[in-house]
Amino acid sequence: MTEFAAWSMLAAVAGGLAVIVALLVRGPMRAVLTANATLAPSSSFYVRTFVLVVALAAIAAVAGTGLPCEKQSESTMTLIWWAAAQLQPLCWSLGGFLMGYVLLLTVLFAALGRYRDQ
Amino acid sequence: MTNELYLYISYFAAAMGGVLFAAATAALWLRRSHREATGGRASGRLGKILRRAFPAWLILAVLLGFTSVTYFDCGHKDYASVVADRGHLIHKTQEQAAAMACYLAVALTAYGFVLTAALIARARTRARRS
Repeated sequence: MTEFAAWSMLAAVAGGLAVIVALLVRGPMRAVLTANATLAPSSSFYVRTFVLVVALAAIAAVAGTGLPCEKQSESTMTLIWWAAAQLQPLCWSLGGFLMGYVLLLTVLFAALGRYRDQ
Repeated sequence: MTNELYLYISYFAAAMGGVLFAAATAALWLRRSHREATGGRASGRLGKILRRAFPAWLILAVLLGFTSVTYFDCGHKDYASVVADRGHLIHKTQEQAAAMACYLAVALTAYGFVLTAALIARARTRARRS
Protein backbone atom coordinates (compact mmCIF):
# COMPACT_ATOMS: atom_id res chain seq x y z
CA MET A 1 0.00 0.00 0.00
CA THR A 2 2.83 2.39 0.89
CA GLU A 3 4.53 1.66 -2.42
CA PHE A 4 1.34 2.36 -4.32
CA ALA A 5 0.80 5.57 -2.34
CA ALA A 6 4.32 6.68 -3.29
CA TRP A 7 3.68 5.90 -6.95
CA SER A 8 0.34 7.75 -6.81
CA MET A 9 2.07 10.74 -5.25
CA LEU A 10 4.65 10.66 -8.04
CA ALA A 11 1.87 10.55 -10.66
CA ALA A 12 0.08 13.47 -8.96
CA VAL A 13 3.27 15.57 -8.82
CA ALA A 14 4.08 14.79 -12.48
CA GLY A 15 0.54 15.68 -13.55
CA GLY A 16 0.62 18.84 -11.43
CA LEU A 17 3.92 19.96 -12.95
CA ALA A 18 2.57 19.38 -16.45
CA VAL A 19 -0.61 21.33 -15.70
CA ILE A 20 1.35 24.25 -14.20
CA VAL A 21 3.69 24.44 -17.22
CA ALA A 22 0.76 24.23 -19.66
CA LEU A 23 -1.24 26.90 -17.82
CA LEU A 24 1.74 29.24 -17.54
CA VAL A 25 2.61 29.08 -21.23
CA ARG A 26 -0.76 28.62 -22.95
CA GLY A 27 -2.07 32.18 -22.52
CA PRO A 28 1.04 34.07 -23.72
CA MET A 29 1.47 31.51 -26.50
CA ARG A 30 -2.04 32.18 -27.79
CA ALA A 31 -1.44 35.95 -27.55
CA VAL A 32 1.75 35.69 -29.65
CA LEU A 33 0.08 33.45 -32.20
CA THR A 34 -2.88 35.77 -32.72
CA ALA A 35 -0.69 38.82 -33.34
CA ASN A 36 -1.69 39.02 -37.00
CA ALA A 37 -3.83 37.28 -39.61
CA THR A 38 -0.86 35.30 -40.98
CA LEU A 39 -0.20 33.59 -37.65
CA ALA A 40 -3.76 33.36 -36.35
CA PRO A 41 -4.98 30.26 -38.28
CA SER A 42 -2.18 28.17 -36.77
CA SER A 43 -2.64 29.34 -33.18
CA SER A 44 -5.09 26.63 -32.19
CA PHE A 45 -2.87 23.87 -33.60
CA TYR A 46 0.28 25.03 -31.80
CA VAL A 47 -1.50 25.55 -28.48
CA ARG A 48 -3.17 22.14 -28.66
CA THR A 49 0.02 20.33 -29.62
CA PHE A 50 1.88 22.07 -26.81
CA VAL A 51 -0.68 20.94 -24.22
CA LEU A 52 -0.56 17.42 -25.65
CA VAL A 53 3.25 17.32 -25.66
CA VAL A 54 3.42 18.42 -22.03
CA ALA A 55 0.82 15.80 -21.07
CA LEU A 56 2.71 13.10 -23.01
CA ALA A 57 5.95 14.02 -21.27
CA ALA A 58 4.24 13.51 -17.90
CA ILE A 59 2.63 10.26 -19.05
CA ALA A 60 5.97 8.96 -20.33
CA ALA A 61 7.65 9.69 -17.01
CA VAL A 62 4.91 8.01 -14.96
CA ALA A 63 4.24 5.07 -17.30
CA GLY A 64 7.89 4.06 -17.38
CA THR A 65 8.07 3.90 -13.60
CA GLY A 66 7.17 0.78 -11.64
CA LEU A 67 6.43 0.57 -7.92
CA PRO A 68 9.42 1.06 -5.62
CA CYS A 69 11.14 -2.13 -4.48
CA GLU A 70 11.35 -3.27 -0.82
CA LYS A 71 14.65 -1.54 -0.10
CA GLN A 72 13.36 1.72 -1.52
CA SER A 73 10.31 1.64 0.74
CA GLU A 74 12.20 1.12 4.02
CA SER A 75 11.20 4.54 5.33
CA THR A 76 9.33 7.66 4.22
CA MET A 77 12.57 9.39 3.32
CA THR A 78 13.74 6.58 1.02
CA LEU A 79 10.35 6.74 -0.70
CA ILE A 80 10.77 10.50 -1.17
CA TRP A 81 14.26 9.90 -2.61
CA TRP A 82 12.78 7.31 -4.95
CA ALA A 83 10.07 9.76 -6.11
CA ALA A 84 12.65 12.55 -6.58
CA ALA A 85 14.83 10.23 -8.68
CA GLN A 86 11.83 9.36 -10.85
CA LEU A 87 10.98 13.05 -11.31
CA GLN A 88 14.40 13.82 -12.78
CA PRO A 89 13.62 12.52 -16.31
CA LEU A 90 10.29 14.38 -16.22
CA CYS A 91 12.05 17.65 -15.43
CA TRP A 92 14.49 17.02 -18.27
CA SER A 93 11.78 16.23 -20.79
CA LEU A 94 9.46 19.07 -19.68
CA GLY A 95 12.36 21.53 -19.86
CA GLY A 96 13.46 20.20 -23.23
CA PHE A 97 10.01 20.39 -24.78
CA LEU A 98 9.42 23.83 -23.27
CA MET A 99 12.65 25.10 -24.83
CA GLY A 100 11.72 23.42 -28.11
CA TYR A 101 8.41 25.26 -28.21
CA VAL A 102 10.00 28.57 -27.17
CA LEU A 103 12.47 28.15 -30.04
CA LEU A 104 9.63 27.24 -32.38
CA LEU A 105 7.62 30.31 -31.40
CA THR A 106 10.68 32.53 -31.72
CA VAL A 107 11.33 31.30 -35.27
CA LEU A 108 7.66 31.59 -36.15
CA PHE A 109 7.28 35.09 -34.76
CA ALA A 110 10.57 36.29 -36.22
CA ALA A 111 9.50 35.12 -39.67
CA LEU A 112 5.79 35.91 -39.66
CA GLY A 113 5.25 38.45 -36.88
CA ARG A 114 6.36 41.34 -39.11
CA TYR A 115 3.41 40.97 -41.48
CA ARG A 116 0.80 43.66 -40.87
CA ASP A 117 -2.91 43.11 -41.44
CA GLN A 118 -4.42 45.16 -44.28
CA MET B 1 -3.03 -16.46 -17.13
CA THR B 2 0.30 -17.95 -18.20
CA ASN B 3 3.29 -15.70 -18.74
CA GLU B 4 3.35 -16.49 -22.44
CA LEU B 5 -0.30 -15.55 -22.87
CA TYR B 6 0.35 -12.38 -20.88
CA LEU B 7 3.25 -11.57 -23.21
CA TYR B 8 1.10 -12.01 -26.34
CA ILE B 9 -1.77 -9.94 -24.98
CA SER B 10 0.33 -7.12 -23.50
CA TYR B 11 2.58 -6.89 -26.58
CA PHE B 12 -0.20 -6.55 -29.15
CA ALA B 13 -2.46 -4.50 -26.85
CA ALA B 14 0.36 -1.99 -26.29
CA ALA B 15 1.03 -1.70 -30.03
CA MET B 16 -2.67 -1.37 -30.85
CA GLY B 17 -3.26 1.13 -28.04
CA GLY B 18 -0.37 3.30 -29.18
CA VAL B 19 -1.45 3.31 -32.81
CA LEU B 20 -5.06 4.07 -31.88
CA PHE B 21 -3.96 6.91 -29.62
CA ALA B 22 -1.83 8.43 -32.40
CA ALA B 23 -4.67 8.05 -34.91
CA ALA B 24 -7.16 9.61 -32.48
CA THR B 25 -4.77 12.48 -31.84
CA ALA B 26 -4.54 13.23 -35.56
CA ALA B 27 -8.17 12.51 -36.44
CA LEU B 28 -10.02 13.90 -33.42
CA TRP B 29 -7.95 16.17 -31.20
CA LEU B 30 -5.91 18.03 -33.85
CA ARG B 31 -7.83 17.55 -37.08
CA ARG B 32 -9.74 20.81 -37.24
CA SER B 33 -6.90 22.99 -35.97
CA HIS B 34 -4.47 21.32 -38.39
CA ARG B 35 -6.86 21.93 -41.26
CA GLU B 36 -7.14 25.60 -40.26
CA ALA B 37 -3.35 25.91 -40.13
CA THR B 38 -2.72 24.23 -43.48
CA GLY B 39 -5.83 25.37 -45.32
CA GLY B 40 -6.36 28.34 -47.61
CA ARG B 41 -5.59 28.98 -51.24
CA ALA B 42 -1.93 29.83 -50.82
CA SER B 43 -1.19 26.51 -49.12
CA GLY B 44 -2.50 24.55 -52.12
CA ARG B 45 -0.75 21.25 -52.69
CA LEU B 46 1.67 21.73 -49.84
CA GLY B 47 -1.24 21.95 -47.40
CA LYS B 48 -2.73 18.80 -48.87
CA ILE B 49 0.56 16.93 -48.50
CA LEU B 50 0.85 18.06 -44.89
CA ARG B 51 -2.70 16.97 -44.09
CA ARG B 52 -2.06 13.53 -45.58
CA ALA B 53 1.36 13.12 -43.98
CA PHE B 54 0.44 14.21 -40.46
CA PRO B 55 -1.47 11.09 -39.28
CA ALA B 56 1.10 8.79 -40.89
CA TRP B 57 3.91 10.72 -39.21
CA LEU B 58 2.33 10.33 -35.76
CA ILE B 59 1.58 6.62 -36.24
CA LEU B 60 5.12 5.96 -37.46
CA ALA B 61 6.53 7.81 -34.45
CA VAL B 62 4.48 5.66 -32.06
CA LEU B 63 5.56 2.48 -33.82
CA LEU B 64 9.17 3.65 -33.67
CA GLY B 65 8.80 4.12 -29.91
CA PHE B 66 7.16 0.73 -29.55
CA THR B 67 9.86 -1.10 -31.49
CA SER B 68 12.67 0.72 -29.68
CA VAL B 69 12.12 -1.49 -26.60
CA THR B 70 13.79 -4.88 -26.57
CA TYR B 71 12.90 -7.75 -24.25
CA PHE B 72 16.44 -9.11 -24.19
CA ASP B 73 19.06 -7.83 -21.76
CA CYS B 74 21.96 -9.19 -19.67
CA GLY B 75 19.69 -11.20 -17.37
CA HIS B 76 17.32 -12.36 -20.13
CA LYS B 77 19.35 -13.69 -23.03
CA ASP B 78 16.84 -16.12 -24.56
CA TYR B 79 13.08 -16.42 -25.05
CA ALA B 80 12.62 -18.91 -22.19
CA SER B 81 14.22 -16.60 -19.62
CA VAL B 82 12.14 -13.65 -20.88
CA VAL B 83 8.85 -15.55 -20.59
CA ALA B 84 9.74 -16.99 -17.18
CA ASP B 85 9.97 -13.55 -15.56
CA ARG B 86 6.52 -11.89 -15.22
CA GLY B 87 8.01 -8.80 -13.57
CA HIS B 88 10.28 -8.31 -16.56
CA LEU B 89 7.32 -8.57 -18.94
CA ILE B 90 5.35 -5.98 -16.96
CA HIS B 91 8.34 -3.65 -16.84
CA LYS B 92 8.85 -3.94 -20.60
CA THR B 93 5.19 -3.12 -21.29
CA GLN B 94 5.55 -0.02 -19.11
CA GLU B 95 8.74 0.86 -20.98
CA GLN B 96 6.91 0.52 -24.31
CA ALA B 97 4.12 2.84 -23.14
CA ALA B 98 6.65 5.40 -21.95
CA ALA B 99 8.66 5.18 -25.19
CA MET B 100 5.54 5.57 -27.35
CA ALA B 101 4.44 8.65 -25.37
CA CYS B 102 7.90 10.16 -25.57
CA TYR B 103 8.34 9.52 -29.30
CA LEU B 104 4.88 10.94 -29.99
CA ALA B 105 5.76 14.12 -28.08
CA VAL B 106 9.02 14.45 -30.04
CA ALA B 107 7.16 13.84 -33.31
CA LEU B 108 4.61 16.56 -32.52
CA THR B 109 7.35 19.05 -31.66
CA ALA B 110 9.29 18.19 -34.80
CA TYR B 111 6.14 18.54 -36.87
CA GLY B 112 5.68 22.01 -35.37
CA PHE B 113 8.94 23.03 -37.06
CA VAL B 114 7.83 21.51 -40.38
CA LEU B 115 4.56 23.42 -40.14
CA THR B 116 6.46 26.60 -39.35
CA ALA B 117 8.47 26.19 -42.55
CA ALA B 118 5.22 25.62 -44.48
CA LEU B 119 3.63 28.73 -42.96
CA ILE B 120 6.67 30.83 -43.89
CA ALA B 121 6.52 29.49 -47.45
CA ARG B 122 2.80 30.30 -47.62
CA ALA B 123 3.31 33.85 -46.34
CA ARG B 124 6.06 34.46 -48.91
CA THR B 125 3.88 33.16 -51.71
CA ARG B 126 1.06 35.45 -50.61
CA ALA B 127 3.40 38.45 -50.37
CA ARG B 128 4.71 37.80 -53.89
CA ARG B 129 1.19 37.57 -55.30
CA SER B 130 -0.04 40.80 -53.73
